[in-house]
Amino acid sequence: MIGFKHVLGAAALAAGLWASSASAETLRVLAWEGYADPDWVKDFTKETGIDVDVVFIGSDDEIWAKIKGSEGKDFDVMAVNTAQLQRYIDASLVKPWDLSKIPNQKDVLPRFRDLSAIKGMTRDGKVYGIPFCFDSIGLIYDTDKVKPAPTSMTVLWDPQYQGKVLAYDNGEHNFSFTALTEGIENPFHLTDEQFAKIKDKLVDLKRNTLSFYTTADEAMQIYHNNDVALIWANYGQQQLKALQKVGAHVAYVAPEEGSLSWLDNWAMTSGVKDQAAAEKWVNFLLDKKIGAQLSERTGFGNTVTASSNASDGDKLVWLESVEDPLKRSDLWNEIKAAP
Amino acid sequence: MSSRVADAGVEAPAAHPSPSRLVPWFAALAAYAVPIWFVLAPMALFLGYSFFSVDKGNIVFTPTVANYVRFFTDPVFLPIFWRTCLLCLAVAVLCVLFAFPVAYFLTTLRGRRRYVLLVLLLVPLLMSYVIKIYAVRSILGGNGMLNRALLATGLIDKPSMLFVFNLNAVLLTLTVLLIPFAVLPIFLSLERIPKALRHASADLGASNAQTFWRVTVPLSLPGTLSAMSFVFVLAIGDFLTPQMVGGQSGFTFGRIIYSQFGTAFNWPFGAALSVILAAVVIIAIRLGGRVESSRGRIQ
Amino acid sequence: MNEAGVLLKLRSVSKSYGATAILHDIDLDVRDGEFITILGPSGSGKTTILRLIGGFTKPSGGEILLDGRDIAAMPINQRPFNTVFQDYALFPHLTVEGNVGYGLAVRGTPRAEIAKRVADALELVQLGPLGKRFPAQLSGGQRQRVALARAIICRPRLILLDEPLAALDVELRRHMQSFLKSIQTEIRTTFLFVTHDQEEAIAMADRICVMNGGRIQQIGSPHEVYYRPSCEFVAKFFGENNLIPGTLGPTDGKTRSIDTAAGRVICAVDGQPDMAAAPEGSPAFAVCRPEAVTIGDDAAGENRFPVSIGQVAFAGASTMATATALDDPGLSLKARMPSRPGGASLRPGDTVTFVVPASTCRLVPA
Repeated sequence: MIGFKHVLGAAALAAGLWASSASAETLRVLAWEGYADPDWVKDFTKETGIDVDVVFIGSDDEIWAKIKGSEGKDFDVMAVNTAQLQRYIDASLVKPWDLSKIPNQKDVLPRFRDLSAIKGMTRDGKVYGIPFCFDSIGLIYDTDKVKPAPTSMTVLWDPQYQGKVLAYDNGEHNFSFTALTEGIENPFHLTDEQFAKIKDKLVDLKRNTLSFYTTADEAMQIYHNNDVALIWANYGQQQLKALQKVGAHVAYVAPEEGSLSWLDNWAMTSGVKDQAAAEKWVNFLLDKKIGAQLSERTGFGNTVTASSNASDGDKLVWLESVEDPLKRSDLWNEIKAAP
Repeated sequence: MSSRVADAGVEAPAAHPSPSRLVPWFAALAAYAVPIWFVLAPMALFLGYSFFSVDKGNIVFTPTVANYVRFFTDPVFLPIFWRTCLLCLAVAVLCVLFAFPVAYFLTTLRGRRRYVLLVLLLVPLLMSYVIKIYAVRSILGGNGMLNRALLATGLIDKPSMLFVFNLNAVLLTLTVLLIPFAVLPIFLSLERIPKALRHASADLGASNAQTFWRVTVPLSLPGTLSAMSFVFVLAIGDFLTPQMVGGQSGFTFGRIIYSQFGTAFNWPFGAALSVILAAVVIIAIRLGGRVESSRGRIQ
Repeated sequence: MNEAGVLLKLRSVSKSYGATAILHDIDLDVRDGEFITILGPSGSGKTTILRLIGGFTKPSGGEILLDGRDIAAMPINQRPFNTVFQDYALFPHLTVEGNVGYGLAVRGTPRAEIAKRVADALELVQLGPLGKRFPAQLSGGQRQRVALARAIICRPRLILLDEPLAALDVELRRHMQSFLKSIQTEIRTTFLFVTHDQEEAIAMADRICVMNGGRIQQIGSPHEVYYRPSCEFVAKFFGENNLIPGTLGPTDGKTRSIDTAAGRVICAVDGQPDMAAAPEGSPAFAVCRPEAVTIGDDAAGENRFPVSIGQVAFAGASTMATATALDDPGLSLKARMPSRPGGASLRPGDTVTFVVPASTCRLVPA
């Protein structure tokens, strides 16, 4: 009994310490690994006098659980992607930004300047997300086997590569990118006829496919042990660089019909304690030097300096939440079950 | 002894019951709580969830049998279900065919060598399952060891994709991975056959082959069948192997269940499918155990 | 019982596991049609002899001759012998019929013939209606009969029985003893029966081979080994016996005297050339069965021992009196007499004379 009290006391003490360390002068950040490196945090504190507490997360669901669980009160800013942000706006867990307090946003790359052009970032004319990090989902091809260089994902259906295609095991993305190859305006909201058509296309794709992979390592291993010509590259540049590093003759293509791309943004929680500190944090990170470091360290694209992740001409289609994830998953199962 | 301890408890000034009286209660509680909490409760939870439904990503807690109706009426699930059962049955048969000679050989060894070899056979069970699948996949792959060996011997002139990214590959990989699970029950049942029975058979004029088919094989049947049901159950619950080596045709019942929890977020339907799988598993175990229990009758 | 009647000969057979010798220099003839019992305490090597004959183990030396040919290397399944194992070793997955017909089935005998011979064999062992049962559904005695039927159905030249009655209770054992003996008489097959139980051996055997320490101690009819033991071990092995130590005196060819602390004892030596020829003065025992002792001064007999009665024990049909010789207080003698309804007339402390005729007294070397 006494022992238990001790434990409780210690826990209370620890909680108190933790709470006090997260005082008004401390900015509480929820981010992915690589979005708040220690040297940047150190420089930020030196420049602004604001301490930063960073918690790293591992999945979209984890962010939702942490923010929803505290109704936004445990964190001031967080990194969240375009497909997810609307959900937080719906639940009033985020607050709009005042762009005048983030001057660096004016100097970002052209495609990120007009935030209203990026779907999912705004609501009623208010901006809820500041773009920070992105990558495209393109096509990796073996330069020895695929000639000439492909320009579109439609090459995945080419019968001459039958049994040499690695596709990704995800119904949502597969419907979206196939919709793009079919010239469908909004690949994230499909009609029933569009669904039927794309389902047939995906059954054809399946028959051209060697296997469906789930992790980059797995794709790499299959590439090594088998005759693979084309990889639908869910992990984008990271995946390309990993393959090139071990000597594979591969190259990357952003398809002409548009690349599905993810884009992570900084959002401010509705429970933000010091709005100014949050604004300073985002403005600080939209710096050319930090942008370059971000791309160099993670292999992802940044919004302030040019990177190999996207050329100016590449058409990037930012991911949105899809009309019915359950329906896409069920249809994907049907496609996989098809003989 | 125990009454004396209890008396001491009564005499003690403290008002609490003596700790020695509580010990059996705690022991019983622990003995029942562990299986109830970790086995029965989750299974009951699954059963419960299987009667709910999902609407726009949220679980609707109104009882319905829609999930089961869907399983039995949707053209996707039943064919996959039967195909998976058949596949796992084939795996079980193959495992037993490979494991039996191994187990038999083990019983012919004497003393320490027999157990050293047995342990060596079981060592793969300590390795990560995923790593083993990776290893088998690189052996079976287009540029894998098997193909390179076949090319080198001139048996084939270009890499064969017969053994990778199809159902053959799933069958082979599951067989290779699960053989150790089949060796053990067969070995144990062979070891339990008294030597005197083989002597009696020879004494009555039977050759070694006759003794093997008329005495050893029938008496090892309980172990062989439990090995089969064991392997079948492990194979049918596996969702990694079909995904990793099955290629575009490696879609099994386990994969469907996995997708309901992973990407679809349709937990109620996933729970219903799991309940169906659990029913199959229970049937398989019962079938495997039948001969085991009727052994009491014949021995 | 001439040479032609010998079925199996063991010549200088020995067996050892590593440095441990189990059997030394065994010479044994098994005669055609006899019931021979190998008798000995546990560890005496008796079961090893059976296993050597059955082929379950190979001899380390010597030869086992069947019809004059050494069968040491002959596989088990080619020997014309069948065995009734100690724990029966019935096949648990086969019915009684399956078990009994096994030996015929593995020889490819036609089904109809198997069925007929199985029925006959079951009839012989009085198990007719139990053919469809499994061994687990039978009593110990029934299993015993199945094992016997299974062994005799192939008409072997020799049936080996390895302590087959050890697991049965006393009454059933007695019953099975006479049953086995009657079966053996009926089918006229040679039985080699291994046991550690002297009464069992005496009750069933035509001849008994007494084993101890891996050596044969004596071979002879039950009567011979009981009344005319050839050594101290055999003399002591069959129940309670009187052994009086002494040194050999002169012999007249039919009897021989031995000088003991309790006086000179005259013993018969007919049929015992070794004892008749042994040098005078060699140590020996005079041996006489307690039931050969008569009590009383007026009883007739060459050897007379004045004794003081120590204990009188009533044992049902007989009563045993234990006494101390007056001439040698270190010598204890026993006398067995028929019990009487009125109780024994002897009382502890009585001084009487134990009288033993020379014809019932025998000599064994010390």
